[in-house]
Amino acid sequence: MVDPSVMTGEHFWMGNIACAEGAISAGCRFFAGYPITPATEIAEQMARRLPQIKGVYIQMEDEIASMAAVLGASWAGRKSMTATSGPGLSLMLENIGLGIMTETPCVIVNVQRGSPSTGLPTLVGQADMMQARWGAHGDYEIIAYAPSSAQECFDLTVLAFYMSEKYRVPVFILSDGFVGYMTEKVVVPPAESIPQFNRQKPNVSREKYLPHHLADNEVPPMAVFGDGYCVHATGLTHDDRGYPDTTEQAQDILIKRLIGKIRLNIDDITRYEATYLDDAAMVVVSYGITSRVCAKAVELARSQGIAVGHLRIISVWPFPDHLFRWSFPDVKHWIVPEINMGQIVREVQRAVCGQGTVTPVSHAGGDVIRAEKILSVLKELCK
Amino acid sequence: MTQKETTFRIAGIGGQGIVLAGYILGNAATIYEKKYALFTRQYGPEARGANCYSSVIVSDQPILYPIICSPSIYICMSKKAFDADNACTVTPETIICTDKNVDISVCSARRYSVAADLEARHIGSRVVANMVMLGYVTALTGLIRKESMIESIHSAVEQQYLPLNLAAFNRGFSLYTSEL
Repeated sequence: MVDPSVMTGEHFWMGNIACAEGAISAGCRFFAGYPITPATEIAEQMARRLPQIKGVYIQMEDEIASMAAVLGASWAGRKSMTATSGPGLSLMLENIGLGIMTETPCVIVNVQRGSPSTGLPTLVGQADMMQARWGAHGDYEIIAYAPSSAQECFDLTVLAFYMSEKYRVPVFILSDGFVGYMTEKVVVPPAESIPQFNRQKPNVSREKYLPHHLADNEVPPMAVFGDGYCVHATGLTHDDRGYPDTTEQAQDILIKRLIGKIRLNIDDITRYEATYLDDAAMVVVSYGITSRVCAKAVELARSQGIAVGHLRIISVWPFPDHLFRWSFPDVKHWIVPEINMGQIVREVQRAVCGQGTVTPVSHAGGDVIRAEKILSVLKELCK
Repeated sequence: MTQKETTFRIAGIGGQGIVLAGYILGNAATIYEKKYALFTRQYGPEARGANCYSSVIVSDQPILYPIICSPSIYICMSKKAFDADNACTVTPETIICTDKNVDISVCSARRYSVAADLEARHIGSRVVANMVMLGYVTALTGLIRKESMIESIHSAVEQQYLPLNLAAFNRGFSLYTSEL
């Protein structure tokens, strides 16, 4: 029987619709959110589709409540998601921190717009990269993917659910206003070939179950409310029973594990695409919509005899330091165009660690950077 | 980079169906012609009445670069929007289709004046002037088959408004063919 939740076939979708359908295809059956340009179409699509497939859509009173509802739904056993833009993400961050501390699988789509504050509601920005990484207080690691096409909005949302369930962590899709509205062909594969991961359940008796006790890896099995196990979830530092244990020793164990489960699995989480790296002395580093522009700039430069490569970072967090340090030792110049005044460029500087110069190509927001501008920077560096 | 792309820019005012026209064009090319299309839209936060633009790239190969600088075809439904368009430049090679009501000062070897607004009023509503224009441009360019455009309109327009939209599209198509 054909799975009605998966719209197998070819579609002409905007990135936002592809995000929603990717979520549904990954098994998401709960969405709570509050409309905001340029992310509203995700909520609209979920509102249309979820009731058709025994899912639940709730429009909440604000983004604070939306994120709380998403965490609650996940603890009730549903794969759950919300979508917003910068101003909404600012409100969600407190509860995203709670999601990190309680190891709650969920997906947050942030369709970035010009910012800060209300900024440019309908126009593109890429300035929430650090907010996604560090916005909630405290020390943690997070996972984030940045799509550059409508197809990737679908594929990476599927992947985001996969990683969120596997590592029990909120996962970001860092889309942007251009990708969100950009409408292109999206191919949805048959349901059976869409990768799914369902959170590991405890395989011990109720009496022996410890919610935060580690089994085979850094991620504890997750019993949800209603499974019949004794479950306690708290934002306080907790012991392996999930009960508050506000001691230095408990903090040391918990925080090191929350960070370790991401850092130790960076190879599994990382996605990137390297083009023309074999002979490149300089490399353009890009993510999100800027990748599309950089790809053209690199093609133009190559046609003019400039040996430039292109490294597209698909998984922005955890930042793939290892790519820079070990994979491309011959690169002398790194060029980082982004629609902000310099965020990921700092990560590149840190990762390159003095092995080559790092040049930002900044744009304050409102439009994508033109390929010609990147080309002129490449030519300048060749002189 | 050497691929042949046909690029459309549609400029108008919010409420004229500029976004819908762009979607129908891109959808027809992608789903019913099995080509590749990339459709973007630009507008401000206003609900209606402000400048609004659609850009559509159609190609036989996957489209990498999402930006149009000099469109192959510029469809102009508002002088205000056209004059304010900083993103696209019209060249002497650009085919320009304007509504007859719209008076813009621009040079082009191929410029067409289409009574889209007037014909839409005759059919029943000004809001389908976009469909008259789409029909005209479909006939003019021959890039996408009429049948594909009609299929796309079927998939994009609510059932109750289909007869009005299809009538407008067909009227626009025959406006061009009757000029031949």
